[in-house]
Amino acid sequence: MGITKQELEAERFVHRGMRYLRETFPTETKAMDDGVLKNRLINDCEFVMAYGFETERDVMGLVDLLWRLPEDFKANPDYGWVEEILSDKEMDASLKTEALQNAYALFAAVAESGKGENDGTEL
Amino acid sequence: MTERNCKATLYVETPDIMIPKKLKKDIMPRDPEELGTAVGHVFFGLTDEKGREKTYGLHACCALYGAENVAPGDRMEFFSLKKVAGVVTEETKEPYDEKLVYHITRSQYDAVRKYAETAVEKPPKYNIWTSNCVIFAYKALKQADLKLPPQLLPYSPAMVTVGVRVLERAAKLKDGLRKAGRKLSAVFSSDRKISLSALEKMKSPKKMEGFGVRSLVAEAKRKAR
Repeated sequence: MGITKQELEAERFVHRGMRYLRETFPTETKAMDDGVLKNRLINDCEFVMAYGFETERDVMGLVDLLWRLPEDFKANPDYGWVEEILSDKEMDASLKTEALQNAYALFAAVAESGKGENDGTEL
Repeated sequence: MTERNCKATLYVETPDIMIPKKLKKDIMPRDPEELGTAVGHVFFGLTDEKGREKTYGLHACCALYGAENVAPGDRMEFFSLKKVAGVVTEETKEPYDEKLVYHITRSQYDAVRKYAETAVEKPPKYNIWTSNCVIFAYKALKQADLKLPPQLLPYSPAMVTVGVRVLERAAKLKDGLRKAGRKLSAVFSSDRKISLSALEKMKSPKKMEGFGVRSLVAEAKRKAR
């Protein structure tokens, strides 16, 4: 039985996705062999696609953001905003990505600012 | 006129304790005796299309350094709930450590300017908790419907400092995400949809799996049902 067009495209997508993740997140991917990274990417894609993300660009855009969050973000109540935005039925994929990026930038900035700079002990 | 060719700038003289130690030698010079050095000060500037800036800041008359006819001890009066005489001054000589720049239209500029000039003529009373330099600057900039750093009561230069720093960091993080977005757009199709079933088939078989006691008990219970 030959490989279908969809399977070929999926294979190419995963290959490019893995390369992107290795380039963008070298520290996080260093300890992962290709099999582990591939499964992690596919799991992330499945998670993302469950919220209505369909195209390669939209899916990878959100996977990229997920990699910037702590691994336990799904169980961490501090990151409840991720699920809240993803579940919003009135937003399409690009609006969800934009909202998540804005929320992430603000959340991460607040978290970073609590690390000593504001009492003059940092820097 | 909707062109944003004017500017409103919120300036913060950061409370001394919040200035990173390594930067203290590089910040703008200030008088260590002045109260603003310890507690901070906030003022704002308005810049027109030609780049000319005018600055405004509210002070308690009795707390101005070198205020005439007021004994140094009386300056502490303004720490009470009492409102004291205020004065809106040009702040060109005031040091600042953080700033938030808004690009605004001429009509926004005019709205803030009108408020500020009225305050110069008829200065509001000053109270450190309810009518201080931050509240004055916020009220003025609100005339242009600007989004200002969030505040906890009482409004303070410390909170403005945190707000400006958070906004700067958030903007940098957002830039990083935009850069990543451009890279993604070059590599991944915006039209091609991914097949979930095709992805599922591609998963590598796991080489090793761990099962803790919780999983094993849950599995046993599931089988028993």
